[in-house]
Amino acid sequence: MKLFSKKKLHEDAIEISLSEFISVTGGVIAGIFLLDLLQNIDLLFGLLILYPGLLEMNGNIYSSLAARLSNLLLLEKIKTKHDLKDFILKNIFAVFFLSLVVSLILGLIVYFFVYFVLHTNNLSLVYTAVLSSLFCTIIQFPLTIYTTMLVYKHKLDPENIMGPDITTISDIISVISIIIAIKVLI
Amino acid sequence: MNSKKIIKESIKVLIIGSLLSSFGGMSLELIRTKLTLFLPLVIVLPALTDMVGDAGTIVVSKITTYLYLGKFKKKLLTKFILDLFLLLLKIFSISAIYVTFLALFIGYIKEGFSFNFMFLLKMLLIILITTFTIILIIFSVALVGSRYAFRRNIDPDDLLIPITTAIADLGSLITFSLLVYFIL
Repeated sequence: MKLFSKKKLHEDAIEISLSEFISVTGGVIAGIFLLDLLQNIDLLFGLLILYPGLLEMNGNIYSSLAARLSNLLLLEKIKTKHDLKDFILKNIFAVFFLSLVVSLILGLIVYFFVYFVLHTNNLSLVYTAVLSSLFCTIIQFPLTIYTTMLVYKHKLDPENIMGPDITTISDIISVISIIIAIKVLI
Repeated sequence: MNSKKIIKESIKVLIIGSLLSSFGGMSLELIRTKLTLFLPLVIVLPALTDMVGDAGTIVVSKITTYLYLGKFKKKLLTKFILDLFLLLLKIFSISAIYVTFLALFIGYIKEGFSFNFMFLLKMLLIILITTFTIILIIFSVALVGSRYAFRRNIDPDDLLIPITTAIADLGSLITFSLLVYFIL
């Protein structure tokens, strides 16, 4: 079939519509959790600035992790449990390091913005950023590995499926992690 | 790829991407009170940013394939590009309408948020205008940027997907906040 034919465009329309339906429904679920977050907004001034950055950071980290694993699976470079263990060991440090360092930098920048521009001293923003990223990593690192492997085992292409889905899952887990972090801190 | 290489390749993009999104979050501070009053606006936010982000990824990957097949040399607006634009506009308009109604429904069920027809119309207008505006910007950036990248032997996917998703995040939050500020 031609890549740019009317038939292909029609098929694309169906595939895009279906994946969008799942993606935006997941987005709405993240929005429901965001409502709970909003209840703490007066306690945590600056949270509206912090949360989009944290969601973006987690989405990027885990979609890259899924893409790295998908590439190796499709190239048949991960065949045994030992190969998978090796992949996990190489990635777990990088994911933890990136989550904690980037969230710390983001938390500090948001803290200073809120301090100098909005004249509110709220160091909890930094703690929330780091702690929620820690919770998110503990939940999402194994989940991303497991779902990518599961998709591959069912003879589906993880590159097509994991990309849009992992960012939606990531949004939901990130918001839940922020709520848990706030509850621990306050 | 070892840990050191992953960290080295990812850290800059992660910091810039998350800062841009948080910059978009600053515009939400402008409508803080309205967000606490009109709860469906909060429910719809992650879906809205997800949706326009997906649009960016789809547009760039389609245009990149089109470029690699040599179908996109002289004219910027070919029939395929126009068809793709109209198709995405249709799909994302339907998604925007679906997400608005779903957010209103959940707001009503979960928080007892009652609304009148005027509020429904205004919210629908805000979501649709935000979606149209960002898709138009993303499409223009992808069209011009992909040709630029292609001519310089840079993979348009690598260059433009992070750029369009950042524009989508930042642009959608700013457009949404401004529309909520002026319309509601």
